[in-house]
Amino acid sequence: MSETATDLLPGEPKPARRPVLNTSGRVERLRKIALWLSLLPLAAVPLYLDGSWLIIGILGMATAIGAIGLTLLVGTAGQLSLAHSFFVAVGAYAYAYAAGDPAGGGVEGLGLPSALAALIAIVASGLAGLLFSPVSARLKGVYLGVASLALVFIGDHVLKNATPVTGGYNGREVAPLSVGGFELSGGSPDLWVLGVPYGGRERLWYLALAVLVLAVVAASRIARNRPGRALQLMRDNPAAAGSMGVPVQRYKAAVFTYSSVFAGTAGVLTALAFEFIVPQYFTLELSISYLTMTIIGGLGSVAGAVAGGLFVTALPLLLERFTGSLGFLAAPGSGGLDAAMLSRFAFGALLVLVLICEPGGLAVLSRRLRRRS
Amino acid sequence: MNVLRLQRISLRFGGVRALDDLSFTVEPGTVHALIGPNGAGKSSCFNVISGHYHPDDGSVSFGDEDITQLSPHQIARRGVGRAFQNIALSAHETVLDNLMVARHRLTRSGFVATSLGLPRVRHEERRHRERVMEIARFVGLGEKFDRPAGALAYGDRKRVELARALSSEPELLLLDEPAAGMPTHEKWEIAHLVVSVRDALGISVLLVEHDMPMVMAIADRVTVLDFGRRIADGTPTEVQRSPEVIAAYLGSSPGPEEPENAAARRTRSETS
Amino acid sequence: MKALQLLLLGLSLGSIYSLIALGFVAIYKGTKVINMAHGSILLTGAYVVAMLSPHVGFLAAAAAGVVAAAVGAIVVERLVSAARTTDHLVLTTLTIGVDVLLATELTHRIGSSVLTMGDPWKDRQTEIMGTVLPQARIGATAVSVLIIAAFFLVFHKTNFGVRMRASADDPRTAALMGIDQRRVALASWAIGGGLACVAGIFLAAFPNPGLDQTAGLIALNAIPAIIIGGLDSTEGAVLGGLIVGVTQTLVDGNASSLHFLGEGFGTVAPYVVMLLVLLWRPSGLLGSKELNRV
Repeated sequence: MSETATDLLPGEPKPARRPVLNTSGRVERLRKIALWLSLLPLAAVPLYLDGSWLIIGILGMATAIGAIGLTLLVGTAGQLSLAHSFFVAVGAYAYAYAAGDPAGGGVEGLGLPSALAALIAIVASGLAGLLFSPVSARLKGVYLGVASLALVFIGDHVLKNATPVTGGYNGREVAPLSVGGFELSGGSPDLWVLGVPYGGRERLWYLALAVLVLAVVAASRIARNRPGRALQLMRDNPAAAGSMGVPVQRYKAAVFTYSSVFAGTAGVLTALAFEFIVPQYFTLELSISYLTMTIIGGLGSVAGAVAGGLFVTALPLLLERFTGSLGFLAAPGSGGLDAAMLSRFAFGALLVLVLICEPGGLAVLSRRLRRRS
Repeated sequence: MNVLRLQRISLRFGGVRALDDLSFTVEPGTVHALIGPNGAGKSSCFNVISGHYHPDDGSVSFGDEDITQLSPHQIARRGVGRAFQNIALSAHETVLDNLMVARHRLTRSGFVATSLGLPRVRHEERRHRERVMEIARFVGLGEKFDRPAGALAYGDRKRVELARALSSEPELLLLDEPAAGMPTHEKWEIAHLVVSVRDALGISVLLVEHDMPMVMAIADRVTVLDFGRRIADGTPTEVQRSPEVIAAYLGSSPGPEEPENAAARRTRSETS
Repeated sequence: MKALQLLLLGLSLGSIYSLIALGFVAIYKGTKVINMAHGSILLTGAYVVAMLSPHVGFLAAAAAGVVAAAVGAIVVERLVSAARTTDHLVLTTLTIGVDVLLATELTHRIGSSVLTMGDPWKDRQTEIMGTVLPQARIGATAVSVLIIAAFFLVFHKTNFGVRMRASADDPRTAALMGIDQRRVALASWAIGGGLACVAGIFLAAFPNPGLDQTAGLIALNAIPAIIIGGLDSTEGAVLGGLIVGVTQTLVDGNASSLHFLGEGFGTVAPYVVMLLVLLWRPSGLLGSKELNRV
């Protein structure tokens, strides 16, 4: 700090020495290229794995999209929400209702083209988030988290009781998504790629992958640019954010709405993957799972949310698949330590351990490893 | 250029009068210092001007507009910038990001346009980044743009705080103890900087500062507060001669010492 | 008479919720953490009571349960203070992790059985003012009133209470004045845990059939209570608890005329009330409005 103030007046530009920014720009570009290249093997996966494996990936990717929305809300903006499962449910049920067959047995539907229905569902979940803004704009942090519990329980009640729309306790069927007669989550018309039959799950894999890429790109842009910076300062010091011209209440409502759009998108994809949705899936436990993903991945980290989403979704499914070969696991429902229970223990322990030992989660750990190498 | 005018401001917290019938005017293009013992109401006064507190009585106007009941972001949008005393930065974010956030009122890109990555978002970003880097160099931060703000030395963090307030391109800048806790030579760098903010950038400055030699050297006008009331208002020399000021700074009996020294001594004993 | 009966039943249920809510608020005031593991701690205490009661008698078992729940709460507190952050969002999330662990274990242990406490009131009922009330609920109300009165006496009149309040209002100054923050934190968590167990015992008693593995969720009914009352107000916790109890009982008691709201609306009604209160007063009925510290 040898420079004094007076020789730094405007109009006297200092000699440019900004190697820092330039190299980081190049590294950034290389990383981007590497990321896009890593999509190639992912695109080839359906050629090699069968549907029972693909579904794990599809659900993982769908969930990762929801986790990205939550990490923006909780990590970047510092606003806790336990209502994420509610917005996932809005997306899932709004799609099923809008695309549903009006003459379907007992459950109503609008019979809209399914692509339009998907769009409506995503907009509907955003609107639901927007409707909550009188609350989400005025409460902050943890307080919003406990208040948002209301949506989970009210949502659960509506799902179980609005039977004509939701099918009540028994749930309802989900129509496949198709664009111009070509099903993206079903098997019609027949399609073979390199001798491999491409049914519903193979096609849905690509849809989920594409939407996940879009979600990652959009959320990273938000985090790096004007809205993200405003959210970060709002999280770290709301008073300073106000004095920098950030309308704090509007931004709280906006990020809540934005994150519910991601949740709704995850809901549509989840519904397409399940082909049948029941209220028992969209509970507080799902909200806590989403929170677990963002914590394990590192609050505020988009890449971390993807990793966390894949891990938290896949672990119980993989454990279940391998129950037979893993000697210590009991069969589901037998009363012993089964796959679901073991993964719940793992998630609870990870939540506690990560928050005690490394609150930055995977994102910080990987950054540290990269720096060391 | 707009005049900031406080008229008969009163602010109460429970039974405590933080500000009591306070009036003063900040003329455009001046450095106006607000001084007084600890707890005199200087920070409360800043919080009223910047909209964090709404006074129980009285009005604040900026130019022709009454801004008393506006919220902080609305006041910021009208060109009143603020640097905080206790360094209110995002410690994990880079210096550049910390400065860019102050461009909020000057930029447009919202959630939708940013998600879509529209070209205008990128142009806006590039344009404003250049200007913000200029400001960072202006306050003497050099090229530390990529460092997390929390990793900087104390003096540099104070400079980031100042640079951030400047990055909102204010017409009037509220500076809350910009040199507090700095070694003497750095304090004078900041003093120079405040003067050049006025002269080179044409920004009016309302300054809270405990360092009396610095205040007396750079202020065009001084308002003195004690127990939330204005006890003096004038040029530095006028204020130094005011018996009320001498009394407030020395306790009840004015001593033989020169007021400037007395004030400086008081500051020293406060900081030690 | 039915209205009066429902009101009395609601108030008695509300007094039980007040105990849970008071525990939440004690912990929040002591450490600024919302203990999301409260439900599991309640269930831990109730589980211990149910296991011991047939062997050592109800009172001894209840005492053991209260101690177990208090110890459980202290363990959570120790974990929370092991985190090297003061970010309340992170700390509250940490308690969610503990809740997942405890709930998984308890769910496994309890399985499909229903926990009963072996309390002396059994299913006896008493006639008061022309209404018929379960003795267990009368007992619950009496015990709750005593505990709440004791709580306020300690909180407002004793040296210890003054210390607790001082650290709640301004931790830094309190620490400077030589108040041991750790002891205050431990005490507030232990009190919270103990209160939860007492509430759990009464929630299991008649007219309820007992506690099953999902009972941890019942503790969440205290969440609307603390938000309605105001997160940092002990009086608010009691008021909120009563409002939730009465709302729930009134809605359940008039289920037939409220059928259009769907089955089991009683459990949701407190959350609807909570949202309405939030729209009206974001910091709750008795909560202090947070000053934006600059």
